[in-house]
Amino acid sequence: MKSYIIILFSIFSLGIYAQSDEAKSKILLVKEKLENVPPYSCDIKVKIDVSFINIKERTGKMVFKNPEEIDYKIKGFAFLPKNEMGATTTDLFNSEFIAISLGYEDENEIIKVIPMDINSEIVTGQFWINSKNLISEMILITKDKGSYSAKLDYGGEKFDLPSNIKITFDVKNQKMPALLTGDLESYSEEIPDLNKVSKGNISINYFNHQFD
Amino acid sequence: MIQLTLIELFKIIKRPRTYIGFLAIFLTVGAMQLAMFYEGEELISIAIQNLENDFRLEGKIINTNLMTYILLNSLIIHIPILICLVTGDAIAGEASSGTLRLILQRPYTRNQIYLAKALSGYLYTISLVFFLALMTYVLGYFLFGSGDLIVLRRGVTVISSNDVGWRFFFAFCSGTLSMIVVASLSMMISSFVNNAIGPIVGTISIIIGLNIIFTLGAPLFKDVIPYIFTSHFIKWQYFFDFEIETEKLKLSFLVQLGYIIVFNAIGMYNFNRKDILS
Repeated sequence: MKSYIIILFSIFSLGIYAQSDEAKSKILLVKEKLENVPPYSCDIKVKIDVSFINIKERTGKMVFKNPEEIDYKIKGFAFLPKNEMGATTTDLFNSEFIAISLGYEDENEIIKVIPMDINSEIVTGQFWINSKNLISEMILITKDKGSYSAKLDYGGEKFDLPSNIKITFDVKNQKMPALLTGDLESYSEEIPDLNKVSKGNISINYFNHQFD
Repeated sequence: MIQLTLIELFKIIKRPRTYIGFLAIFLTVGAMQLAMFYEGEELISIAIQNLENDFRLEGKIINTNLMTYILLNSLIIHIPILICLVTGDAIAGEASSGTLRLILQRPYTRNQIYLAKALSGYLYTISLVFFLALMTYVLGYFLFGSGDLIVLRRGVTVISSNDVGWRFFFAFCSGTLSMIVVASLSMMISSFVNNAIGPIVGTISIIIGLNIIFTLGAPLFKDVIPYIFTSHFIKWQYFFDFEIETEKLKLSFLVQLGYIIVFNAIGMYNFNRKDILS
C-alpha cells in the first residue's frame, strides 16, 4: 500500500514538473518573440477612461527601441500607463521564475508566472497565451502599485505586434488642495474617500508601423 | 453724458493712483512668471505628485495657458483691491477735496454725474482686467510657449491648446463682470462718506470678510452662498470644465447683474440726497 502511494505521488509530481517545464518553455518562446522585435515607430491613438480625468482622445507617435526604451511624441498632453507592458513583462521573464499551466480558456493557455526573487516588484503574473504564442491577456500583481491587466488584439502586423492594447489598472481617488487649484467652492463639497481605489482604463491603438 | 464720462476718465488718467494697479499687475505677473520659469517644475510636481504615481505624464504642463489660468485666481482678492483704489475715490475723494460742490454746480443731474463716474470706473476696471490678461498671456507665451491646459478642478481636465481661446475670452468676461460688481460696491460706499480711505477699506473688508465666510463656513451657509457676490468671483473657472454648466453660469450672470443694479441704485439714491453744503 505504502509503495503504491509513493508511486502515485511520484507520477503526480512528474506530471506537474512536466507541465511546469512546458509552460516555462512557452513563456520563453513568448519572451523570444518580444526580444526579436526590431526598433520601429508607429502612430498611436490614446483613449483614457478614469473617473476623475477628463481628456479627449490623443494622437501621436510611439518610437520603440527596446522594451525598456519606448518614447512617445504626443500632440499636446497625455496620460499614459506608468508601467510599460513590454518593460514589465521583460523584467519578469528575464529573472528566474516558475511557470505553471492552469489549463485552457477560449483556445488560450493560461500560464501563471511567479518570480523566484522575493524582492521582485511583480508578485505574480498570469498570461493567456494563444495558439501563435502571443499574449492575448495578462494580469500582473505588483507589490506597491496594485494590479493591472492588459488585453491585446493583433491585426496581422509584422513581428506579431499588437494593434490595440487595453490596460486596466488600480487608481486612487485624487483630491487636490483648494489653495493650489483655486477651486474654493470645493470647501462646501463632501471630501471624497481618498483611499478608495477604482479601476482606470487606457486604450492604445497602434497603426502605420515603420521598421528601422 | 459721453462728454461727462470722458471728463471723468480724464480725471482717472490724471491721478497717479490709477497707475498703481497697472504697476502692481506688471510686477506681480512678472515675478510670478519668472518664479514659475525657474521653480515651476518643482511647484507643479507637488500638485500632481499623486498623478505621477499612477501615470506617465507626456507633454509640457507649464505653459502660457496654465500661467494665465493660475493668475486669473488673483481676481478673488488682489484685483478687487486695485480696483477700489480708483473707484472708491470717485465720489468720496472729490467730497474730501471740495471739488464735488463745483461739479454739482454744472448743468447735469446728480444721476448723470454718478453714472458718468460709474462708467469711467468700469472702463478702468475693464482696462485693468485686460492688462492682466495681456500680461499673463503674452509674457507667458514668450517664457513658456503654448500647450494644452491642465485644470486641477473637480479632478483633472485637459483642454487642447486649440480649444482654450474662447474659454479664456469668456473667463475674462466673467471676471470683468465680477470686478464691475466690486467697482459698483466701492462707488456705492464712496457716495456715503467724505473720506477716500473709507470706501477702499470698506470694500476690501467686505470682500475679505465674505471670502472667509464663504470658504471656512461653506457647509453652514451652503444655501446662501450662491447669492453672495464674492462667490461669483471664481465662476470664470466654470468655462474650463469638460462639460460647461450653462445654467449655473446664467444664474451667476443674473446675480452679478442684480448686484450691479442694486449697488448703483443705492449709490445714486444716496448721492441725490448727499449734503454738499456742510
